[in-house]
Amino acid sequence: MTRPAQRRRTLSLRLLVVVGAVGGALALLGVSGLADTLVYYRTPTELLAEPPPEDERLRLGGLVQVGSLERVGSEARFAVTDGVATLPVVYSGALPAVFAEGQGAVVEGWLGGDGVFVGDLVLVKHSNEYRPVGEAG
Amino acid sequence: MSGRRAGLQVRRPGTLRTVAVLVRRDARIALGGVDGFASVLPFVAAGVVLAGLVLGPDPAALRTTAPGLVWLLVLTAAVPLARLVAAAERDEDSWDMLRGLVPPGVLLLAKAVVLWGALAVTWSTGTLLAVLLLDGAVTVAGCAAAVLGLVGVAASLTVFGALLAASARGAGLLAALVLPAGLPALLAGTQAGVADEPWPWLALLVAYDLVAGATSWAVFPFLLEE
Amino acid sequence: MPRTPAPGGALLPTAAVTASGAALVLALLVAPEDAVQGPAQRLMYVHVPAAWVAYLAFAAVLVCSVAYLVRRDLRFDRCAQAAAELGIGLTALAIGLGMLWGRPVWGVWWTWDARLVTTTVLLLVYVAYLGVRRMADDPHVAARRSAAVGVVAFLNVPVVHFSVVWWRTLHQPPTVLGPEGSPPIDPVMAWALAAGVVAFTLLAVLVVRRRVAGLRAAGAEPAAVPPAAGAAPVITVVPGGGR
Repeated sequence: MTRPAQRRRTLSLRLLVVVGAVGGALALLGVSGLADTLVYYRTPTELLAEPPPEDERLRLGGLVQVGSLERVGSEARFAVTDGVATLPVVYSGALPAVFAEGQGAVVEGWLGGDGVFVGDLVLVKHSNEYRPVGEAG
Repeated sequence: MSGRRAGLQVRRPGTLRTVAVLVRRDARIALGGVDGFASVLPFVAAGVVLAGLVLGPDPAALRTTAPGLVWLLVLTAAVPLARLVAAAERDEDSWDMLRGLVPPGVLLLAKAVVLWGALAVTWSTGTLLAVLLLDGAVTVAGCAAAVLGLVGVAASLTVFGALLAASARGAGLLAALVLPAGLPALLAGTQAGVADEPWPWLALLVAYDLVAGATSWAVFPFLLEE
Repeated sequence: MPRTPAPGGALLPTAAVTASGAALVLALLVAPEDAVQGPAQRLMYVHVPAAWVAYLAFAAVLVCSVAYLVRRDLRFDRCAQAAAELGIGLTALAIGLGMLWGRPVWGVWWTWDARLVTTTVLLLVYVAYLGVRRMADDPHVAARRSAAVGVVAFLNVPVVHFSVVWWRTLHQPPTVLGPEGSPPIDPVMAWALAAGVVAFTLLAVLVVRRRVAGLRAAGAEPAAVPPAAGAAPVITVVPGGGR
């Protein structure tokens, strides 16, 4: 037990078991459908399929539909889409500088009874793509 | 190493017998000792009552926070419970003898079983109080999540308890280790009880048990050699 | 520090300074401005290397911890401590730079996103690891306990990395280390990022080597290891650990 060679053999067996357990855990997580459970935001399709209670605060995420953004005074109206369903959003406040049509956004707020999402915080969700100016993705 | 252990097992009582003896002795400490329920259950009760005071009086808010609150209290209570790992041995001054006699894997199993039981009692007490005082709900999935999640917590807690078995210092440090190590149980345990679809959360807990159990087993022997 | 061989000793600092200069020029001047995010995106060239080299440092803690448990040589323990300290610093840097990046682009400094929370937990776990190191007075007892914790703590690293893959987060999924084959990044930007990673790695090795030498000088182990032997394995262990 005190010799390094012996310790190495014992330890490599133990490490092998740990690596096996981590691999098994990763495989289990892969098939468990966990991706749909811990969500930072919900998509318009999900919100329309399962309307939340009216006073529940939640986050709506998706792409800002091209051509939907209009500003009236300090109020902004736009639509958030996931390609399948679209939800109209009303937001009063300053939009982030990077906010643009066709880009990802997450809106915090409530889904009103009239089907309009009332937001009080807009976050821009940028993609993992990095392209220079003037070169379309 | 394996040869030595096999040789020992012939002369010694079986693994299950050893585990049973150790568990019975530690359970007595948990039930009656100062490191056990005598301090932890009042703490959990105080936690639930104070939460009702500061988070209330809106019953909806209390109902929403109840499951997460119970798990947070259990993880916090796990910090003093980690003292159970060597409590009996500290009283008898037999920790050195025990770790020389019992193989590390068996010792880990016995200590983790005791901690699991103690954590399960703590969780049940907290949940019962949350149902009575905070209008919380008990679901089958929530109970299954507690059964599963506390396995991983108990395994990690045994390692951290053994880390501190021989030292009087570092009790506060234990909290900094236990809370992050219990994060999967906190998250999945809370969510499984309230989600429409508990299966992914239960799968996460099984994965957590697997990793926490294997890692604890791998590092535990090194904490026993002094 | 005291008696490192002259040629090898000068090579690493020179390489680190050169790489840092090149990375700076590439990131600030050569790389084009991002079409969507504008100048704020240039924070990527420091944020991402900081996070990656933090992973690398924690991997080095793991490797050194295992090496200590096998060899029982305090050299590996010092190495683990130095790597953990560096990893903590770099994780804090990555969080700080991420906040600076998040404010103009997302619109908030901080949000309860899986990546942000798991990274902060990672930071706290390694801070606790440094606490474990100071629990015992006997250096070998402290080294053994912290090595056990150093192995367990590393389990957090895959959780942080995969948090954006497993779960739907505000933080974008990985660009370069992602599951897809071709990273969706402009080649010049990718080069600037690569230069940043090389610069951070070399600087990290430099810092760890210095810290290990300092720890050795402060440690109560006189003449157990010949002075020159200490520096060489450190250089090989640290970068080899994470790759």
